[in-house]
Formats: sequence, C-alpha cells, structure tokens
Amino acid sequence: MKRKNNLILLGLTAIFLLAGCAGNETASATQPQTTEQSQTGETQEAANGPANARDQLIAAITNEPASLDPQNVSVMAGYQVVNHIFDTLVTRDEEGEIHPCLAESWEYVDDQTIRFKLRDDVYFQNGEKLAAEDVRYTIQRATEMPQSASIFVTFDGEGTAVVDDLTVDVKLKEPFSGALAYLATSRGSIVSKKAVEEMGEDAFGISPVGTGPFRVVGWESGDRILLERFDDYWGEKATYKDLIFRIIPDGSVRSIELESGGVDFLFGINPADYERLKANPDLKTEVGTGFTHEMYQLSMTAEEFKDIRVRKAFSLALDVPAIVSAVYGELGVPADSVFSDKVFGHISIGPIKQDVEEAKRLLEEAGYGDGFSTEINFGESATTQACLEIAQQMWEAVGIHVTISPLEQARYKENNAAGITRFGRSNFTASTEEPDHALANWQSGYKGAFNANDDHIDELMRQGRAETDEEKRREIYAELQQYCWDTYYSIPIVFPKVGFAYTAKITNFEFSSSEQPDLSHIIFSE
Amino acid sequence: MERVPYVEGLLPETSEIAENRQSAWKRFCSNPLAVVGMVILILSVLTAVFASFIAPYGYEEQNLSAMLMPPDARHIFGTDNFGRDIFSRVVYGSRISITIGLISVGIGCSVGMIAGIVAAWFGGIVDHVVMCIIDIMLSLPGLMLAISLSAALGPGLRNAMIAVGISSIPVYARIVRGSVMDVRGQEYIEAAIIGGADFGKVIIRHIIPNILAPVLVQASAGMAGAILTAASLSFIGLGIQPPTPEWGSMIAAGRAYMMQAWWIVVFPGAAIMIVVCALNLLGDGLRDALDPRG
Repeated sequence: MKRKNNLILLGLTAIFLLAGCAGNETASATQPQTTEQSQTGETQEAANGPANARDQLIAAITNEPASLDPQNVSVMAGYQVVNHIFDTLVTRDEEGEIHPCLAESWEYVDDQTIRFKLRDDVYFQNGEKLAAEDVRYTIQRATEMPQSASIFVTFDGEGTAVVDDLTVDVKLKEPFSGALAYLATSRGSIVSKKAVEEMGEDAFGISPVGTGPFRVVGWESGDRILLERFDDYWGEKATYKDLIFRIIPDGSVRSIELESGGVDFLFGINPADYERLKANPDLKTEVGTGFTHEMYQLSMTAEEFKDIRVRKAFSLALDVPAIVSAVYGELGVPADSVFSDKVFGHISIGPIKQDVEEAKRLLEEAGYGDGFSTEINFGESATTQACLEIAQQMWEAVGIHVTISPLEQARYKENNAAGITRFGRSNFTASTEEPDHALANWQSGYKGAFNANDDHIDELMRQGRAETDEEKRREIYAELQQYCWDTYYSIPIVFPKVGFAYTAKITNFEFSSSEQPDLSHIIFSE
Repeated sequence: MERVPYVEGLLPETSEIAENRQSAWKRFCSNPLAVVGMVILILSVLTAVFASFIAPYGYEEQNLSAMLMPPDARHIFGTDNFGRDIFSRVVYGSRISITIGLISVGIGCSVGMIAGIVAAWFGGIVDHVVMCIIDIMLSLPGLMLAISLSAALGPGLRNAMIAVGISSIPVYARIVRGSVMDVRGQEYIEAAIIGGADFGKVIIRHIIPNILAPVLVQASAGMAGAILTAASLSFIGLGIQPPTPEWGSMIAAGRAYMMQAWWIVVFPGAAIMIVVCALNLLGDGLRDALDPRG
C-alpha cells in the first residue's frame, strides 16, 4: 500500500513538470486567432444594435473599501463604487470642462462665493427630495471629515449657506480657481443629510444613500458589493439592472477572472498580464495617461532624514527608468516631476539621474560611511513591492539597507495619521487635474507619510490657489515643483497609466483618466 | 546464589540488539524507494552546504536586461521578473528549506518529547493537564495553528520556524507518551529504578533509546510537513520575506507571471516536491525497517 502511494507521488511530480512545459505552447498558439475573432465580434455588434443583451455587469475592483461614505473613502476602489451611487453638483469631462449635474446653473456672487441653483427633480434613494440643506450639510461635512478635510481646506463649511430650498451659496476661505473641479470629484458627492443623521456615520458608510443611478443592496465583506439600478434616477437611467463589484486584490487573479468570464470588467490592469490581455481577441483594453503619481517619502519628523545629503543619496542611488520599465512596462512612465504630466502646470525636471558614486560620497559625508539602515512601509501593493525589491538592491549598492514592510492599507493610513511612518510610499491621484490637489500632502498639516512642514511650500501653495491668471499660476507651480524636487523630501518614481480591460461584448464604455469611469451606460452584445 | 546465568542471559541480549540494528539497516537497503529518498536527501543537504560553489549567480543579483528569460545555457532554470537566476535561487533556497525543516522539527520534537515523557511518567493529574493542552492544540489543523502563530509573531525566517515547530509539538507529544507508557512497565525500567537510578538517568539511558524509532519515523515525515508548511506560510506572505530565496515565496512572487513564464514557479515547485517526496520515502523506509510488524 505504502509503495503504491509513493509511486503515485512520483507520478504527480512528473505530471507537474510536464504541465509546466505545456503552458508556453498554449500561450503562443492563441496569437494567430486575434484578427479573425475580433472581426466576428464587430459584425455581431452591428447586427444587434445597442439593445442590452444582459441585465448585469460584474466589475473587479482592487481592494475592499472600508467605507462607501464619499467624504470618508480612503482608497481608489471606494471612489470607483461611490461614483455610481452619488452625484456631484457639477461634473468635469475628459477635457477639463465643467458641466451641470445636480446644479443646473451657478454664478460667482463674489470671488469667494459660488451660488448654485439645484435641479428640482432629484430624489435620494431613500425617497427624500434633494434640498439646498443637503448640499450645505455635505460641504460642511467635507471640510470636517478627516479623510476629506485636507482636500477641502479652502472651502468654508461654516460660511456656506442655504438661500432657498433649491439655492445654496458655497463659500470659500480665499479666492480659489479650482473650486468647481474640487466639487466635481467623488469627495464632493452630495449626501442625504437625513440619512446620515438617522443612520450614523458608520452605518451610512456601509449602506450609503445618494442620488446616483445605482443604490447599494448588499455587501458581502471580502467578496462583493451589490448595486441595483435606482429606478427613480433623475438622469439617464442605467442600461442594466445589477452592478456587482467583486473584490479581487490579486492582479493576476483579476486577469484570469476576466479571461475566464468570471468578471466582465476590471479596474487596474496587472502590468505582467497586459500583453496577454491585449492580445486576447475576446477582450478589449484601454490605457491612457492618468493623474496618479507614486513616490517614496522620507518623513521630515524623523531625525535621520533631516540631513539633505542623506535624502539626496536615497534618490541618487536609484535608476528610476530601469525600475519603472521592469515593473510597469508600457503601463507607467518614470516620474519627471512631483506630479503627473496630466496635471495643470506640470514641468519636466527629471527623472532622477542615478549616480552611485555621488550617493556613496554624500552618505560618507553625512557620517554614514558604515551604512544606513531603515525600513519602508506602504499599503500592500504588488507593483510597489516589485519596484521596492529592485530599489532595495540599488540602495544596498550604496550602503543603504532598506527592509521592505508592507502593511494592511488601513493600518498604513493610521500609522501616517499618527505620524509613525518614517519612510513610506504615497500613491496619489489628483483627479481634479489641479496642482493644488496633487501637492496636497506637501502642505503642513496633511496627515501623510512625510510632514514637510516647509513654510516656503505652504506660501507658494497659497499663492497658487489665489492666482487666477493662468500664466502666473503656471509660473508659481513651476517654481514649486522645482523647489519640491530639489528638497529631496521625496523620491518620485512613476506616473502609472490608467488601464481598464473588459470583455469585447461591452460597448459604449467611456474612458476616464481619473480611474473612475461611469459604468451605468455600458451596453452588452451577446 | 548463582550469578552466572545472569551474565549468560545478558550476552545474547547485546548481540540481539546489534543483530536487530543490522537487520533494520538491511531491510532499509532492500527498499529501493527508501534508498532513493535518502540519496536525494543527502544530495539536497550537500547542495545546501555547498550552495555558494554550485550557484552560478548570487541569489539577489538582479539583471534588469534579462528579465523572464526562458531556460537556456546561461540560466538553466531561466530568470525571474527581476532577471535573477532561478537555478541559483533554488540552490540557495535549499539552505532555507532544510534549515527550516531541521530547526522546526527540532523545536517540535524536543518540546513534544518532554511533554510526552512528563505526561506518561508522572501520570495522573500531570498527564491529564499536559494531554489536555496537547489535545487543544491538536484540535486545530496544523497549518491553521502555524498561520495564527506566524500572524501573531510577525513574518520572518525565525518566527516561521517557531510557528511551524510549535504547530508540530502535539504529534510528537502523543507518540512519545504512547511509547513511554509502553516501556514504563517493562522489567528493565523497574530494575533500573530499584537499582537506584534517578528520573533523569532512567529517561536518558533507558527510555529515550527505546522510544527513538517511532520519533525518528515521525521526524523524517514531519520535516517534509514542516518544509511544506513553511512554504505555505511564505506563499501567503507570512513566512520568509523577499529577497530571501525561499521556495514558497518564490512561487508566490512568480504566480503573477505564471502564464508567460512557467519556469518561475515550476522549478521551486519541483524542488519542494522532490525534497518533500524524498523525506516521505525515507520516513516510510525507516518505518518499515524499524518496525517490521507494521
């Protein structure tokens, strides 16, 4: 009996080895079919017209949001869901133009007051009618809730006032040219005052009440969030009934789920799978420049990083283009400034030029000739981990020993807020396209990984916000980017591209650089 | 009183033990699978010891211009997503896996033996309490216990060994307790006690040598289990952290590239399989050889 078992084990070893060898052949065999199948797809689509063949869309998101309260969301996946449950006063299109949404019109009463006239036909998912008080309450809330307060810092929550049932004056603390763009982000989503007050913050975060095309009907923790079409939606109603967000943190699993039909749409293409998904005739991929930048940040409250020579050595040790190309391939560009080239006022300064000898010399000069040891923390992310593993080797070569310690997203944020992080990572999406937004975590008081507490940065940020002349704003932000770059407070790494992949049966999808596409108008052809 | 028969009786006993040992070794050698297992294991240990001579590259050495290269003459197992030579990493990985196997089995075995001996020797309330704790540990699946311990202690090589070691304690404790109970009533033990030997001496001189066979069998199979558990821990991110070339963590890291670069996961996977298989074969062979009745 024993012998028999042993033979089976040996047999399994052989099968395992053979299965591995077979994998490569299958991959190359799919290549030639590409053109043939995609042509068939197009013909079918033309014959069926825009009628929706299915009543359900399953989309894969990358993390489980802790909350769906728009003023309390902390991860991109949260916005991607919130986006379908709520509306904002105004919306911003891909060209940066502002359009009416819940507000049918608006005017500047003075340079610190915007008067919004609301639509008269909007109802929340709890049956309540949208009123000016909900807007006032939301703005005030956005300035007070910890997650959004640092973004809504120029809005005057106390001063914002109801004029009549459908008119509200949104007050600013200082003149600010980007105000409408801020209100157009998911953070500016209008919540139902009654629902928040009746349910309490926590319950509202789990079953939020908005005015959007979908409402939440279920949330199976760790697995999926279930939305259903809101039939009393004021705008163009969703083209299908059920929108299901499956939570799949592993990038390669997301890709496989899409290939095998487990999901119809995925957010965040795994760079390692991009070529394969692109070549698959049953799938479509869309990739474009985004508003995200990823950088490593040295905390300015940590004694060891006060010396600019140490900080500069951290930067000069790295060959950033090599890291980005190895990990992101086509899905990222090496960071050449402190925010993405899609953000207003971006200038190209970098990427960092690697200089190993200079880095060693600087460390030696700063008194770390025997080496420097530290630990980097970040919210779990496979791409960040991969970049850091390459960076770790490059740092090692100049005598900087870095331990890589990923933390759970929520815990990392908590550590940042508590000022515990000494060396961290920031992955920031400035979906307003505003440099003021993109540099939010450089300001004093922002609860991030590094606390620059630099008066010069604060002053330039103030000037940039108050300036309305486009050319002068560009100049201010150019100076600010150069200053931020030269302080070496952070190590800019990559501007990741925005990527979506979905089944070729889907049409009518609109790309979104802010990574928050509106999926309510998607059409399926079978 | 005649003392001669006692001496006469002792002599054949000694030769019987030697004969037993010889026939056990013979039985082991006549089992080809067990010998294959032992040879593979010896080769793995040699690989681990001489890793720095065998591996053509350093296990951390990245070459970003040769990423995801399929196996060829320069990299016989191909390269991973950082351009590291997989053969070198698998070779260095044998060090980690064998260290984990030995140390965690060492922890499990020594603590388990002490617990088992104490429980069986003293009996009564002591036996009751010790075995109660062991039963509680046994009621949790080994891997789950290891995961919980690893999560509590934090990731890393040392903690992984402790977690895997602790999770294997109950198995040894039970085996040892049973064996000690078997031999405790034997006449030679009683004779030793009457002869004035203290507890420690009885345990070390008389009990341990007589219960070693089942422990040895369990340890060889347990080492296979320990290597697998440690690889599982690393796979889910609770064990050894990168860039240490632990086989389980190599599979975890390579999983994302499995569809286009099978060699990243297949070679460390095969390494785990071969070593674990060899240990199991060895364990089976030992059992057959040491306990011919089974």
